[in-house]
Amino acid sequence: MHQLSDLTPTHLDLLKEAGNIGAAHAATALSTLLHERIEMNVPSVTIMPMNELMKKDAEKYVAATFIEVTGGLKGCYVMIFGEQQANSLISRLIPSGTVDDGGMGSSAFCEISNILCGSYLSAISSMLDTRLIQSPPDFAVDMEGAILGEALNELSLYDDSVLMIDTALFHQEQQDKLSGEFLFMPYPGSLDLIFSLAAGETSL
Amino acid sequence: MILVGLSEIKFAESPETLKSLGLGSCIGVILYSDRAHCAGMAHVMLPDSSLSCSGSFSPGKYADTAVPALIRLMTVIHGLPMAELKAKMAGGAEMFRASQRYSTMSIGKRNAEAVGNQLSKYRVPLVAAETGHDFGRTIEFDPGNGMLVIRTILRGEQRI
Repeated sequence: MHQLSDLTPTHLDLLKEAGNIGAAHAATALSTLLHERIEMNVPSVTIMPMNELMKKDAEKYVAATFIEVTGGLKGCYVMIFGEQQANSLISRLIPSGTVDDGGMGSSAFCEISNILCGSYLSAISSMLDTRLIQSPPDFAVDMEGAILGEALNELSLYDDSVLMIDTALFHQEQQDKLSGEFLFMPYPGSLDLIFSLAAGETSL
Repeated sequence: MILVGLSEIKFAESPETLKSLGLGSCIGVILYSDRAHCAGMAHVMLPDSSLSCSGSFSPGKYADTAVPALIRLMTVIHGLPMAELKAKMAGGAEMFRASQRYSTMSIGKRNAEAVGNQLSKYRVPLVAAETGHDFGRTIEFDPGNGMLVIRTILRGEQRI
């Protein structure tokens, strides 16, 4: 089984490209859903100690969903919006909904993450020629650190660091009102696929 | 103020305080001495190191390694008598609402139990605890007065 420390720049570039294609599809899906233009930044791929990831915005009030990914790549997908941003996103679809209403609003937020994760993963799945399966989203509205801490539970059994493909999607004109972060964190044990692709054992 | 990040163990002497941001299912456990006005805090993530799939990890990560490491920090490294030590803890929430992943028991609850068991194993009295529920906590401990302040986003502030 490969460790995070075995990853070279070639592997990271391959993951970055996968993230890039995935995020582009997710941005298109969100644009279609909202009938508004959604942009994305170039994804970053980093290996980060978990405690540093948590220190960044530990107390920020956010809404987040967590989706478990299984199949050819095992990992987790986390979508994070600031609480205000999540409400602004939801109000475009359900005018009276909020992320914390325990009804249509929260449900819409989960469904958005389901759709975005789905388009992200289906793009990665065809690029890597592997089958990926997503779980229904888990959902929480609270401190970012508290939510990420729980989301990282299983990953943390393998390593004190995490491999993270990070993308931001944002509204072109109203970046302050609508932007969100998408993290895809593959498990170290499922990196074998990336290694065999990079070594040319499997062709794309 | 000294920040105690995920899986870390830190020591502070009054007037310094120990702080841990955004605890979800994690537990912040504090051992302190009223007489010496000093304390150690661990930010525990998981209940048992036998779950680990990697050879090396920080001792602060698992309840069964964090509590002994915290005791060693207080007694061996900082020379405090074992009989003086008292403990407080907070955290162990279940953040995700419709969690299907931990169908048996939430990891937060298991963390709180594991820390409690370790403390009784080493006969350190747990004088106060605020655990469970479904909200995140930021905690700050002042070794000067032995007070643990717990702050939340929607549930106000609590002192134990």
